[in-house]
Amino acid sequence: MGTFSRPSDVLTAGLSVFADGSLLVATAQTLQAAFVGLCIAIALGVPVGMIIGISASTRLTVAPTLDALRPVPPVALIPLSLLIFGFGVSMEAAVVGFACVWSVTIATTAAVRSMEGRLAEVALALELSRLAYMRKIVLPAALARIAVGVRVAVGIALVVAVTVEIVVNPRGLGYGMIIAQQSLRPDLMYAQLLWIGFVGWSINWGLLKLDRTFLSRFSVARGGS
Amino acid sequence: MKRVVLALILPLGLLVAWQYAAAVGLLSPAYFPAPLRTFEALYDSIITGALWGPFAATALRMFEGWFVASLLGILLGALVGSSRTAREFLQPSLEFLRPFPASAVIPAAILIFGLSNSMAVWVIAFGSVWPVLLGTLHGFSAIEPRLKEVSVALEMPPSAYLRKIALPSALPDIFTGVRISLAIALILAVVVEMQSAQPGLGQNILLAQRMYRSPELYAGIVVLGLFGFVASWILDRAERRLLVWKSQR
Amino acid sequence: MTAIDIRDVSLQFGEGAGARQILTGINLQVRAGEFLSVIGPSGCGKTTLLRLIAGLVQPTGGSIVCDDREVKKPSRDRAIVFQDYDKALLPWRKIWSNVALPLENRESRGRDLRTRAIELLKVMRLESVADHYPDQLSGGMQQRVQIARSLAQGSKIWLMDEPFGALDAITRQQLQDEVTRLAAERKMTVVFITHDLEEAIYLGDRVVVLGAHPGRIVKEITVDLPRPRDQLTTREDPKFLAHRHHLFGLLQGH
Repeated sequence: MGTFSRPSDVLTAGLSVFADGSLLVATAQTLQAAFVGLCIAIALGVPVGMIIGISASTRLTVAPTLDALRPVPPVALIPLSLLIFGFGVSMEAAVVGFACVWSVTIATTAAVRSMEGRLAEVALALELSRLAYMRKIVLPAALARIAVGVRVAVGIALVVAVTVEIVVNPRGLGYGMIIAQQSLRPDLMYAQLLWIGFVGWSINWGLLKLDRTFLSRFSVARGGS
Repeated sequence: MKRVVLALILPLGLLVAWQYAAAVGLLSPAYFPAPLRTFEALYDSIITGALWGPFAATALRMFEGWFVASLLGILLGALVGSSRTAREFLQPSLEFLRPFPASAVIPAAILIFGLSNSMAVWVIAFGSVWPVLLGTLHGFSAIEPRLKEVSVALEMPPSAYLRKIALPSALPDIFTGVRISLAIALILAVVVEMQSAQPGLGQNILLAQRMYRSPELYAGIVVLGLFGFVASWILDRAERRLLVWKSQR
Repeated sequence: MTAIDIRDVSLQFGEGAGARQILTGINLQVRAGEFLSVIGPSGCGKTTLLRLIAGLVQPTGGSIVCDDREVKKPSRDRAIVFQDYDKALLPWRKIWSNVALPLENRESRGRDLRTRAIELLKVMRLESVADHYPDQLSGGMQQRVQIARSLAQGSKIWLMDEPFGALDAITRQQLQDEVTRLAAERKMTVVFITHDLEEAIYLGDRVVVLGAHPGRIVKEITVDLPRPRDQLTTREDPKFLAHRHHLFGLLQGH
């Protein structure tokens, strides 16, 4: 048995767990938690980011508190989340949300702050109404920047979700690996490990493609990723 | 002075509101203990010295792993980054590994190394090496070509080129990688502890949760947060000193 | 005495059918202490010629001999001043430290380096910014720092690749005079690349005109104007204008 497996064994283990659907179920569970967490992060991060970005006084009041909270390693919240929510999607999504909210907040703040710049001057020069300015310039410009923050957050979401599953939560791909490890099935474990890598990579690749197709038009507003 | 006051309004206000809500019974003491109780738990652990053992264990683990990762990452990153062929050959695979959850190797590491501190350090090192490696790689690949010509024109030996031009030029990117590495190292240290029951701060808060001792749970989170904050603050100061020239605009 | 002997040099890029002839049949002797201006339209290979003399590039045909030795690689004896000064200075070092860079390769250390660097900065009237960083300086000052650094090499040959191209007219004129003065004081041999005809005539003892596609010498004239040159009077001298007329057509035609 040992700690390593022949590649052929890994492949067969992987195929078997794919074929019987359990791999896909686990993937869906992990992705579900990651997605919900991401939504929480966006729902919290965008408004907070805007609040901080709008005026210097809000920034001075709110930002330091956030700076104090940010260095808390998201995994440190796993026990807390477990305490409050028990096992399941919620606790995982909560931890993912905490981990991802920073990147969204920072991106939103940057987006809002950069708007009080040349684009505002352009709007003034074109004598756009407040509403038109918001709609035609602020929103598209902010979207592009926020999208960058969200893309970073997606990577984090996946990693954190798998981590929570490895540590405590009995669902998803991380848990699958733990089971394999504890049942001394290294072939299954490595198969799932590779699968996780593949999923992470393809999501990243997919997002980059999406980015390039839809957001390339906004490249003027993007600056820095 | 005014900035300090402004900065403290929100957190103090929240803490006071929390304390009140807990005292009055609006918040469940099991899940949201009053801040004062958390503070008490924290204070106790410091006074009795119960904090320092686990703290040292976590900190040591983290630094060992991070140090190994940084050394390896800078070395490999410099090597690969300096050679166009190596870069073209290896960079796609390295980028492939970038979104990989480092904690996913923990089960494998346990199988290979067993439940030990060295397993923990290896996992931390493995997870932390990528940002440093990629950052160094980028830094070395982006050295201004004109400066390379200057060094050739001045007939600089390779060691002088490395010391005077390549390294300083790549330093900002290396620092960015090192900073991210530090954050990852801390996270992984905590995860490994929780996962493999190694003594440390991570283990502490997991135990606190199992025993439903929420003040200690929160106290542990506070300690970890402070630790992370101080570590990255130190790194920031170091960066600012070494990269003094960047801010001169 | 010949400082630089360019013997039938040619440079070809690529092989076979797709090959491009960058330079062909360049024969040129630069006398010691001479100020040679090289001028030509874009793409004529004048920068390439300078890089060949420097040793940054090797010719595919012919050879270049400096001080009885064939040029095979760059040497500290041939100081180069690049056009993109912002990319040629080390942004993480203070100005004096940038100037001291060539000096570090010899025996000196620390205190001594700084003193010598500041001496050179005084020559360029830059001693007041010795402790600044490059990006705190204007373009003209940065280029003067590069010039100071090239002086630190203590070489006899000075190679300049359109050094004033990115600067404004007033700074350009000031630097033109400074460079001619320094070259004369230190008896340096200068090869100066420019696309500015008036600058070439104003500065040079000789002007070599390169033609493009492929790069080759199409004209060589001796500038018999008195030294020291003056921005106002020299440029109005009838001989200056005659040279200008003479060469103007050559540059337009390509």
